[in-house]
Amino acid sequence: MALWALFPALLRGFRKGRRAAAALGALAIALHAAPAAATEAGEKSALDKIRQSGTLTVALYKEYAPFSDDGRGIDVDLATALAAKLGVKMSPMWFHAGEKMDDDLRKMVWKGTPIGYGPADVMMHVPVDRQYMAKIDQVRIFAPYHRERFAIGRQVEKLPVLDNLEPFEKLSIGVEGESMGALVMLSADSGHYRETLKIFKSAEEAVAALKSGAVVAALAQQGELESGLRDDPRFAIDPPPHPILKMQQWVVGLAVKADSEELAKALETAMNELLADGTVKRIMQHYGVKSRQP
Amino acid sequence: MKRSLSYLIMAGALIGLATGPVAARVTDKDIENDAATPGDVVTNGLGTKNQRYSPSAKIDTKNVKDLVPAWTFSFGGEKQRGQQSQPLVHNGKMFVTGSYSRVFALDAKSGKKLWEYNHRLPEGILPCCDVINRGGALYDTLFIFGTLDGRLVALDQDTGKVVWNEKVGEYADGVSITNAPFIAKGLVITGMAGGEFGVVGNVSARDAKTGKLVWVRPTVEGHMGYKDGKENGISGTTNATWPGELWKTGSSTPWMGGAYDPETNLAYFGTGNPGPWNSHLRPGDNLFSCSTVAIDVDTGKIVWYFQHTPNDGWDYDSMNTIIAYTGKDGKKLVAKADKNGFFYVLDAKTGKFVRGFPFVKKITWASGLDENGRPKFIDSNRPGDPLKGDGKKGSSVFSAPSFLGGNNQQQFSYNPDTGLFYVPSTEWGMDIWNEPVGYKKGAAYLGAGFTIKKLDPKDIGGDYIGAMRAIDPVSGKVVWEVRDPAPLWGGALTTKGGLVFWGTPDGQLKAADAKSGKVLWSYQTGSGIIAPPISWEQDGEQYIAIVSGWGGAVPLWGGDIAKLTSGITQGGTTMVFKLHKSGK
Repeated sequence: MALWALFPALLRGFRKGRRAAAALGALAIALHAAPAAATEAGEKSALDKIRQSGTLTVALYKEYAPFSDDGRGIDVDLATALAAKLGVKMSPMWFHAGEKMDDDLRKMVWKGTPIGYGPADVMMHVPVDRQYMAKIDQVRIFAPYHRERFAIGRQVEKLPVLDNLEPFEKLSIGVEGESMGALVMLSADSGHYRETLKIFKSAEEAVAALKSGAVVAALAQQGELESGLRDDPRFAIDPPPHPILKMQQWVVGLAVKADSEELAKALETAMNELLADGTVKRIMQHYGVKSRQP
Repeated sequence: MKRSLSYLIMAGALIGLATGPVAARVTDKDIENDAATPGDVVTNGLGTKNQRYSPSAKIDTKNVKDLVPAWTFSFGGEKQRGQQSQPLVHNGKMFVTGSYSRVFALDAKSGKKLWEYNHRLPEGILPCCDVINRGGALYDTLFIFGTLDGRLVALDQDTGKVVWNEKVGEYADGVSITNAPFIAKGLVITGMAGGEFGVVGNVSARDAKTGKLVWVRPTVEGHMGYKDGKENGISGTTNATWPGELWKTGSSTPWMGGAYDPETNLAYFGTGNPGPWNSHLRPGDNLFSCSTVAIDVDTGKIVWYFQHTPNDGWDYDSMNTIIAYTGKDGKKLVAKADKNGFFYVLDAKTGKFVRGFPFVKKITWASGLDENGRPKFIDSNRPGDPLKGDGKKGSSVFSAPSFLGGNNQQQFSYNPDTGLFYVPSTEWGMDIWNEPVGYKKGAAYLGAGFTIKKLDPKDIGGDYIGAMRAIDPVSGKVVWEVRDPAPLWGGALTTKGGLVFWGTPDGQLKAADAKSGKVLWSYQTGSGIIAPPISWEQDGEQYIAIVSGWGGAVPLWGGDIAKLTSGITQGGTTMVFKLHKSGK
């Protein structure tokens, strides 16, 4: 069997200060007999496997316009561009968001679902937050590409200014159910807005209701609002006049398995190139979102 | 009188085995009489009242020590986890479901496999709560069971071929079925499971022979029910107990299935917790979450409800087993050992509270029940509102029972001879706190953190977690208990022979004297037990069967306690026992 194939693994083993013994063991066996091929494959890095198969499998949220929905979106185009940088094809692996981010990472990045779906090679739209990253040691989170925050989009004619939430005691505001925006609007000012709050299945539906006039305002992520409203002058998008939501900003990036070090490096390099040459900005613009680089 | 008639019918069925398939059909009568006919088990719960009481007395307190394996059957493959099925036995065949929506038909005498059905599950399916299944229903020539992708599938008992396959809920929205459906008056009736949010719980009834939908009854206030394709009245009164639009997604799924009492003509279902998790956002009782709901099987309407935990803030689903029984004074009653730590006795016809008492030793969230059975809340033990104040980490609250409950999916049983309930119980608590750094769907979110904890031995009188408890429903006293170092997660069976059978996480099937609790026999099944045993008779001998295969909720969410059970090996085996006969 091709002995040379073992050397990268062996080197990696030394570099990481572990697995060296296993790699040495494999080498010893390889010197004696052909069946060591299986061990060689086991030592092959995630990146080697992707290059060999010619496919980068990317986990993408379902129903998350404008990032990933119905086969298209910012994250889809970005994933395709990243795969191209690695010289492989992008293969999407769609999934529904779980109750918590931790569930999504377990199912789509490091373990897979009990049915055998996943994990993917890399997942898009993962928060790059040092405190959060410290809690989850099975994955490597890196390559931030977008900064996100909450905002309220409103009909300017009905609500020319918005410096507190009081108008929503009478005027209806739409939110995505079980989002941070929904929780805040259900709680704010001792629950004053509970009765008028309109709950939608997705932010996209809430923004569509704003456009059709069914609600006067919608509370969602800024990117979701920008993409839905597309600089329509009848609407304005501003930070929510609420202490928790106003301060809240986060950055999203990529996630791979904790031991996929080479893959992470390759993807980080690719992402930096896409940020530097304006590709990320162009993709965002295509979907009506202003690029907010981290 | 009735009993002798049913024996005759049973004898006819056994003869039918030899003469042709027509007599082997499972009829409504067979189902109504199941609890009294030892020759078969055609219902989940050994009778639609769910008592899990076997009328067989061939195995008794004296000879149970001679119980030995008759045969075993491995489900095979790689899917060796999460076996929660109750087998059914009819016409010389055993029907048992495996995890991952599988069904096996076996020769009940030899264990030989007759056929196997593997439901094709969609790739992207994300079942919330492991890949388990609790068993099926028999009707006519069909075996009917629910799947992880939210469907009911009817298979031919002889061939395993699909006869009908109907959608109950959208799997993409998180709907799945893990409960066993049951039959009432030719209808197959089922609950469903779903995520915490976005799914509206319902009970639905279909023509058992064709799968055609007859009625659907939402278990969240404000939603329209349907019968024969027409509107059939809203459940409750819109916005009476939910603010704003939260009722639209109120969860409250009846995920354990239900019971049916032909004498009241009511189907009894327990419902899950409401959403969203933060109870401060939904002031009001949030009906019909955490309740027992009684539905008239003819009209598909709610006749009564009883809410165990109004405005739940602890994840105290109330989906637990419901048992219908007759009290000493002849009164029709239903009983439930709730996740919230209280045991309830209700009037089966009206839902009126008869009595209630704790069946676990530590309850922190309520000081007791009032004269109507409503909990007396301890306000300081309600988890706080993370949105009050600055959104930073709030104080941690310790609550008992834990969100996995004083009783959970482990079915309890009732023995009319002793008048006692046998409740596999668990003593544990949880820390709940607001998570300052949380994300959901790639966006900032304020969630709650939960960790299950062992209780202080001083508070519960010893160092244990699980306890099989014999409970007197009149006095509320624990007559006896058998402790276990791990949380009990398998159901109980009790018999005319004066025995109680149950399995433990470390894999033992145990038999105890139903009166004294003395453990008389145990057998190591090779993996953890999280399923209920059954008993039936065949060729003059009494058999006991159990499915063994660790998994379910404890390893997923058990916190510190999951670590205690992490050494338990996986499995997937049906084991059948009978009394040893000497070779002479």
